[in-house]
Amino acid sequence: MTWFALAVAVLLPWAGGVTLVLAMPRKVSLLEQEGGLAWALGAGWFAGILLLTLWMRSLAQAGVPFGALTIGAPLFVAAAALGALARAREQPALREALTGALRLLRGDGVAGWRRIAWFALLGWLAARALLLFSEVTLRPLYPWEGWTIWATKARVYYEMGTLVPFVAADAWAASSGGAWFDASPGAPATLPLVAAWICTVLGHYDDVLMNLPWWIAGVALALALFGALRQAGVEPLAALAGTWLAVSPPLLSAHIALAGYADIFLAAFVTLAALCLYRYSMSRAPGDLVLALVFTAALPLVKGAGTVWVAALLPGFVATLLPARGGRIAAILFGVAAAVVVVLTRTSMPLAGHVLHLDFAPQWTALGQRMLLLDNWHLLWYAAVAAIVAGARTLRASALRPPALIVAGGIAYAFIVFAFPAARGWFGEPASANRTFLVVAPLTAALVVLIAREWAARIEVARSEVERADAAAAQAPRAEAALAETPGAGA
Amino acid sequence: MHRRARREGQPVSNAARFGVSAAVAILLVALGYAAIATPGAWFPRQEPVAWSARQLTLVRGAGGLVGDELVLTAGGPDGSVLISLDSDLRSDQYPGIAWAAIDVPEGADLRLLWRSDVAPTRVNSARIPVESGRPLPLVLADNPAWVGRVKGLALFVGTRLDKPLHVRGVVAKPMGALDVLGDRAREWLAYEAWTGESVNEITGGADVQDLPLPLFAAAAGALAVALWALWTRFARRSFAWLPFAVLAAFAAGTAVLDARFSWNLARQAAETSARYRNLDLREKHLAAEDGPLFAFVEKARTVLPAAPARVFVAADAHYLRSRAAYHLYPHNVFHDPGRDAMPRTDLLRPGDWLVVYKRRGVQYDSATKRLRWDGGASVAATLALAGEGAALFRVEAAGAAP
Repeated sequence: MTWFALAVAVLLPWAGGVTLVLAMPRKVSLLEQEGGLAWALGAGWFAGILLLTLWMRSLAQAGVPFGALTIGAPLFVAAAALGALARAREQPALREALTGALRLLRGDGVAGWRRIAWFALLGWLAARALLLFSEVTLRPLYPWEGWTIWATKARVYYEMGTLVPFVAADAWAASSGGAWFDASPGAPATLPLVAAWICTVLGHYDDVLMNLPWWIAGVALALALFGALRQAGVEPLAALAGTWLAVSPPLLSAHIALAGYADIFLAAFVTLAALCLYRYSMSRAPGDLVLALVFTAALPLVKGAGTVWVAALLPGFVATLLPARGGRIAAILFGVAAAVVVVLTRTSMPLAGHVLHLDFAPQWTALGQRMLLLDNWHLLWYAAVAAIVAGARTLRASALRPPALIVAGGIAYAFIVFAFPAARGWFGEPASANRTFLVVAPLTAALVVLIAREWAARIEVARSEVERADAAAAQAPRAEAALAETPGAGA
Repeated sequence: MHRRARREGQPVSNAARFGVSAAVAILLVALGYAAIATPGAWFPRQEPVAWSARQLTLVRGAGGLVGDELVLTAGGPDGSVLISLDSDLRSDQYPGIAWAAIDVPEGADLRLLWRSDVAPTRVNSARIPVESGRPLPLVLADNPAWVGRVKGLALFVGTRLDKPLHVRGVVAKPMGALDVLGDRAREWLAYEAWTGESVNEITGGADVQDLPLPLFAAAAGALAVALWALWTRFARRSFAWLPFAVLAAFAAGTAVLDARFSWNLARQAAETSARYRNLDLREKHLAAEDGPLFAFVEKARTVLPAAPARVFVAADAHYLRSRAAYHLYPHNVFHDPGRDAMPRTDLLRPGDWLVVYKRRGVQYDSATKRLRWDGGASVAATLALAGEGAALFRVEAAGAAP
């Protein structure tokens, strides 16, 4: 019964999210596209979380207590309505999308070493997912912020059956019991609401099973990345390898196994927003742009620092919406950000009781250790550096510019947080630079794969041209000789 | 036709060339590292010299032999422990000393002490790094005091023991190339269990590593591509396979690293499963790190009213304070997340509750029903529940009396 309730709790918002993604306006069916089903399933989980929590917020606003029915029934209706909206365009392609996915899973169409690699990678990813599932479903809430910031709210929301205010210590002391306090009262309610929903369906507060959304976030992120890479024209095996590259870093696995932190959701929303922009720059389907905006708008709802991540996404939006001048405007935005940072290092401006001043105090050795020497990221950042060096020209291609600018914006932000410790406090970032880089890591991995694909294609084109030129050069003397032998040619 | 195809750079021949390049690259990087890190001869003739726990003398501290282990239960008057043994080693032949011990306190001041025949009256010392409660091998080749014949070795533990320390013996190692490479392999394969820091950092094996595996993989991968390119140039073949060579090197390196992590994760999953499998939610919490705290809060919840009440929480340890608060929600809990502080008495109201868990400086007079902490003013309160180092009080009157 518990597992059935859990399945319902997970599948309802997921279905709502998938139908929302499918119902987005576009001329061509999403399911008809390569990777469309995987993309819809992956992005759908995160869209579903937004639907679910926005509805729970509305209920709280209206004074309706949380309950399996008050939340679940409207979600079901919304999923059905969105499904009906998407039906005309997507249903004809659904059967083919499902059989295509099955064929892909069975490795049809790949042979030899590619087939072995395909199944090896699938097995590898499945084994990782299984191990993480075991961790998530057995261990009570473990990581520090999980039970000092997020689950504190989840429990109160669940037990009180509504959203209640969490306030700072002074306000709590002055209150008459209607406000609660924890280590970060200002943290947004989205993730606690998701956990509260799981508990509501289960019928009791369960700080083991309420962590399942973190595991699903990992699976859904992998699906969305695979779908996006396939849609970008990457071969299935390369797309699967790219997905493995993106989700295999141990730090990401730690954030799934030790569920409870918001960083993996923030990473997923940043990645999805960027990939939506990338899709939009190729398809010009309004639905992709709308989804990009939705996922971007969700960032502040996931974590306090999400607001700053919206700014990091800005250059990507500019480059997408204004392809002709976007690069220049993005460069100006980066320049302005750099100038602001420089000004803040030279001045001390008082603002609302705080002094705005930054001191440059980077810890390069620690950063190098974390990014390159310890096994937080496997070889991801080596690959990122190599991709930038090898694919500098490729990055000028308009379709890759938005995700590249978003990665650049994210890394620039992470650098500011790392190099200017005071900024950490302002933006609510953790002391560990790894967690800031985690937000941009899956997108970086996807970008590395796309650059590698472009790079390989360029070299292939260059090789073909050289071979054609060689062949032409080899043909030329023979043609001259043939011409000379032609009667009357010498006249 | 077949020979012509191979000459033009078919994937098979490229893959074979790359495979050979990769194997050579791994060997070269390993040999290069060994050349830098091996302190003495690569293949020393000497065998390692080992002393078992029975050959050790406990000079300072309390403990005794249990089986094959010297189990140290407490330090001497100053809290330190000293174990010594007689030796007769040529320092140039044995540059490595490895103590076999477990349960070394976190952040312990652990030192190797020794005397040599060059300056027999002088006691030399070198700090021993500790990882996961175990001392790491110490290489003394560059230590100027590691000269002559070493006539006595000792292990000094300068930190008070919070649990018994088990010493199994000590080995003097010639530290040949194989010893050095073996030590690195052991560091890479060391089990890294989840800790509170795991969401911030994954080291990938031992906490302290002389040559981290990602660096080794990256260096070997880069060298493999370089060797392949060199070979390709000399063989006058096409460079069109270069992207595949780069991707193959990267994929192979990532696969090795991810296999190591997957193995570690599998061990962790087995450990987690052994701990929590077949337990219900309550039992899981009792089996968790803070089981005793959970048990006390569980009892406290039966005393507290059903509706959320204002509950103040105090404990010396940040972890226990925050954890107790977490278990108490949805009560209206208040604690200082940043520092060990009792509630301000002017905040207390009649009907408020106070949970005290392993917090020094709190006194309760049951006769007068007055609660006092840190030598300050007292508050009227009733002891509602008492546990080991823990108590739940109900505040009866607002404000404090001197």
